[in-house]
Amino acid sequence: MLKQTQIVKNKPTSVHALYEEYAGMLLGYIFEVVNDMELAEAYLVKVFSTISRQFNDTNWSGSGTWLQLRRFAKNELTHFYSAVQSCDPADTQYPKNKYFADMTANQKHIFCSIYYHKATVAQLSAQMGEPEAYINKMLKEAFAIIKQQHES
Amino acid sequence: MKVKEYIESGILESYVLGAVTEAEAQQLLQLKKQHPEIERALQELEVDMERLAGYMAVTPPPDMWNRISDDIDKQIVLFDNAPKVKDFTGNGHSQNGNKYIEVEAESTHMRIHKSWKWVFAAVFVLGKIFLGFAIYFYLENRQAQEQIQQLKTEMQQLQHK
Repeated sequence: MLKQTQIVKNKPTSVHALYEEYAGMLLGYIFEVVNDMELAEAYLVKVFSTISRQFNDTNWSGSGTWLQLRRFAKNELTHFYSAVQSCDPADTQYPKNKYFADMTANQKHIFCSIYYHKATVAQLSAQMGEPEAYINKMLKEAFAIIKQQHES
Repeated sequence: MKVKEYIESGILESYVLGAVTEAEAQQLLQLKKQHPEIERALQELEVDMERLAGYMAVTPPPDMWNRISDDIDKQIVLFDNAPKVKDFTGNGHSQNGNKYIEVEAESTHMRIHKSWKWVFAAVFVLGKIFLGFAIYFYLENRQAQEQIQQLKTEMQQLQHK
């Protein structure tokens, strides 16, 4: 189990500090959504511009910095989400992520839809005809698979 | 409520990814206050999420920060050029909801575009050159005055002879 001291991070002091620590993660995340590196870089610029405008109004304390940044990226990608809704496991072009190899079709679909396409548990439950508890469980298992791949 | 079952249900994962309903989110925040195990599990999950993002990270190209920095600078220039509008409603100074342009800035600092650094550098260098010329001509002038004085003295001495 992680100690509290490992979990709590310091508040970033500037946009550049955030860039230094999280630009790679954000670019990786955006790239998985837009599937085009040039476009992903353009979105990264937009995300950091928005962050610089709202830097002082955002609570950066605690361990949720990455989740805050991801929220910024999600908001910037809203138009893209509406244009690209596909997260079909049969789609060979998408997603390309290597972590999906060990997942079942449903785990892959649920993870991809929620993590990259802003889908909600309720939407997926209705779409797949499965209870929400099942969606939550599949998502947890998908994360466990990715985690296992790196810990093994 | 069985806390362990709740944690194991996967709802925490859905929550941190923003995939739950508002009601579920409120319930979770309430439970987080009541059960330290849930709070701890959420914190661990946030760290896990960051780790996962780290696994999937892509190194940005070397000029990426410059592109971002330029974009931020453009916004600063645009923002500084826009007139500041101050809404006085609510503090007793409202006049039919009118808005006033703030004439006097509250901040004692100002932001300028990076390109001005070259102008400042040029002004500094030119200042130094002018100072050098001024000192040079001052010394030249002083030397000339001394020579004139010397010549005058010599002429007076010759007249006396």
